[in-house]
Amino acid sequence: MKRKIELSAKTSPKIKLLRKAFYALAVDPFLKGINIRSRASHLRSQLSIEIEKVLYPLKPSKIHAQITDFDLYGGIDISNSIKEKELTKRTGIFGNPSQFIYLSMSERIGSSLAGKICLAIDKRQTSYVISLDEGLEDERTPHSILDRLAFAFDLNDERQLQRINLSKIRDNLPEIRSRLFKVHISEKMKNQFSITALALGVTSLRAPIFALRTARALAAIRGKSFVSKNDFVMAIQLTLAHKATQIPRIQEPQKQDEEQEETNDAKNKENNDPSEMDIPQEMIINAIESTLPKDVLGETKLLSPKKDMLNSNTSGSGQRKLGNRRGSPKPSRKMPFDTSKRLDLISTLRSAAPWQKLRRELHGSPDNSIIIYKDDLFVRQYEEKSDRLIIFTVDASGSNAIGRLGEAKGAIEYLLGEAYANRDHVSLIAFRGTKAEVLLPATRSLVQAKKKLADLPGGGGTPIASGLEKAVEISITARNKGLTPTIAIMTDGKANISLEGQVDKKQALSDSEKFCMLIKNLKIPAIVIDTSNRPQQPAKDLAQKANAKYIPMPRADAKKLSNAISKSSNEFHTNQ
Amino acid sequence: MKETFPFTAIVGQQEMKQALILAAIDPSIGGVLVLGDRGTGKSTIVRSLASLLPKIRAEENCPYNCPKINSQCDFCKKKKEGKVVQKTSPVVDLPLGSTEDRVVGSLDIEAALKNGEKNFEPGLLARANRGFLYIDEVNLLEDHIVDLLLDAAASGENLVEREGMSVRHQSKFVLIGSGNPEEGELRPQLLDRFGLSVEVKSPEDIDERIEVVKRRDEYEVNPKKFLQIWLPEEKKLREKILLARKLLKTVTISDQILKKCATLCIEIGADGLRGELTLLRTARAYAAFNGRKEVEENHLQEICLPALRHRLRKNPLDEAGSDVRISRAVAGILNS
Repeated sequence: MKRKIELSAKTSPKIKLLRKAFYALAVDPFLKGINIRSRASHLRSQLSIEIEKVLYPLKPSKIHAQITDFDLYGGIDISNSIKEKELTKRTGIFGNPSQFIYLSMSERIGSSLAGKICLAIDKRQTSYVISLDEGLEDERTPHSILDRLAFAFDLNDERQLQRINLSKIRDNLPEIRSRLFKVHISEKMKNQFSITALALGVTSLRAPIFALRTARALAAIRGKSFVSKNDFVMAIQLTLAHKATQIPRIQEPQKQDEEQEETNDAKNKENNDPSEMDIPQEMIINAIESTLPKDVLGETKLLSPKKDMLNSNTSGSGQRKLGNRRGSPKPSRKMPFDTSKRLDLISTLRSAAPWQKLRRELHGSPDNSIIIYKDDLFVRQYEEKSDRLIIFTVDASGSNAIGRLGEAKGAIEYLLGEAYANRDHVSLIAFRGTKAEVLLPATRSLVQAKKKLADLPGGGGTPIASGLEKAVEISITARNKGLTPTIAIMTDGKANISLEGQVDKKQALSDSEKFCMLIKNLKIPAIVIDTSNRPQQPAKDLAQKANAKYIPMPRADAKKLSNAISKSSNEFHTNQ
Repeated sequence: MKETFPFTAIVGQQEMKQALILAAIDPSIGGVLVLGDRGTGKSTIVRSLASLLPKIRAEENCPYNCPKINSQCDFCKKKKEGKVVQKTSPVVDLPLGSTEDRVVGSLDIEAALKNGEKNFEPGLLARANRGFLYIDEVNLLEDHIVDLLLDAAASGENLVEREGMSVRHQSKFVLIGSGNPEEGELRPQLLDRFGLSVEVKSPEDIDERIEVVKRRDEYEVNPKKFLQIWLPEEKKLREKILLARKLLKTVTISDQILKKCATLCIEIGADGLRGELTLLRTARAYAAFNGRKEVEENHLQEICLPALRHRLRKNPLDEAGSDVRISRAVAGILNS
């Protein structure tokens, strides 16, 4: 040790668990890896040092979010080949058995890289995967990767310095490994893993298999030939607890202190009878509860896959801002070039220019040659910001027309002008009579929009549900195309025509509510502009149910309206 | 070669397994799309196909898996003589983020650098010829790659015009795509191009789950022994597939059944005519698999879900899903 730091004598329970997990991992490569959620800290760097020690002679190699395929898969090293006048190949990270992988800042890994990593894990082209997740709040390692790693730990709460000391196990590894498959595990326990996983709402079938393997590894580490009750509970704690999406309903699970858990752990020499073992459910539940963060238990804050999908910014290219024109150009950057990128020739030449004289002398090249090194290459960058689509959903019904359809038209016309300035796409839906009509599918042609708007007649019933249905349809298609939709609804909220076109106030209301929920669930930013004479409850309700912003239409103040719309759609952008 | 988990040892997921077998019997059904949760064994099933499927006879070193030496392909033309051997049926993985070069093939850089020759280096489309091409997370694949694949799959050949080369080679393969719909929707144009679509769910039956874990563990502990145990099952299924392939040409379809197919497609409002065609081919393959000489109504009933599920117009509010709608239509038409 280079410098002595006063380390607290006591190792926290979580680190003890981590140690167990790591031992199991070292013993059984099938467990594949561990996800460590922690900001860069002393603890984490200490951990990496320890990890490298244990896994030696495996060498670490890093995968970061911007890694190129060449680094991953290897291939022909063209520049070297030309230089050496013979074919040189470079091996990639995958398929190199002498390396293990660090995923640095794994929360930044996009879905396509995650796919490649998963494929490599599935095909056993990697040894261990240590994922270092530095995410805050909703950012997390892609689920596809998490699912394939046996363990996950959140070390953000571990502030105190402490000794981790993993390397104890190293010398015994070969011996423990040789024992691994001789460990006996009772049928009952095997079954219990699957049952527990299901009770915890862990649907993936990898998890119970990991649990089984972990239990076996833990027993082997203790030098036993059968899996004890403690191994079993520990395995569940290590592999299933962090993937849990629900707390199983058991009559009054007693809260058990973590300290107590420790003491249980210490005297794990008992229970030497492997055949007659009945594991009480409460024991499992308690073990899991102690591993879960405390605040999770109170609320239903456990990660539910649906919610997570919407929040996560790493998975799902549907949500990803593809940018249908590949975005606006940003300053180009020096970075490793491969065929998937576009070279910025001018910048490359510019960066190479000052060195030409020196290089020509060095290589003995003629005066008119330009010598470019790999380091000179500039790559074009695009900002992938997707275009905005504003879907105007206008109530042209009788109730509204008498009032303020004219004014609403004026407001929209103003907004269209704004949209033109912002290069937004617009779409126009009008609903009146028995159903809604898409007057204008998503377009940039504002002239058309204006024309359609001017011709819009008023009168008839108020089929809000139908209008919202069309708006949602357009939003979904727009998202698939990489646009970011915002729905602007202009109505007085007094629905009286059901989705089927029947005059039925009650049904009409429930239909429109359904679509409001849909807008809310799909997280489409929306805004309800109340066009009734005075701000009234129906439109407010509508806004609330769709999680939309409510604005009463100000009298003859279209500008305020426009500000409101841009704001609500921008807010959404920043929230994402 | 590394052994894979045997196909027949996979617990449950009956629908997906059946769809793959039918596509293997009649490749013209045109691809299988598998949508479902993580960790349900999608990848395992597809990867286990290679060792299940009957071997193909192909020229030993030909990158295009040509069945004979003197065929059209560039490789065999040059070689003149060669050996036809038994190869395992190709199941090629297409990793996400593959470049166009890797998919369609490109200039052979090695030859170009070494000998200054302009040779074509075949890509994944060549390797997958006469076999399966598997894309995990197909919903996340770049659009232009998807277009390339669909084009090749539909035309049965790959035409490369790049880097001063013009190469055309056979590329007949069954496209298998899998993905998790929560991570991104598939474009409707693409959906429609897959012949069959299967939804997989994590088994919710405790016994089934227990069985999965047990078998997996058995396999991991002693793969050789495990494979030995399942060998007879694998062989049985392989022979059944071979037999079905032979039978396929002789299976007949009555006009009455044809009419029902069409009515069914109209009833559920499927776009285009692909629905009917797939229904027919799949039903025929299913009949052949079951050793029948004629397609019967219950065959249609068995395969209509995977054949039609993805051809419905989506209704964002309809929570019942397409399965229920199809079943309702089927019940109305077939039993009339």
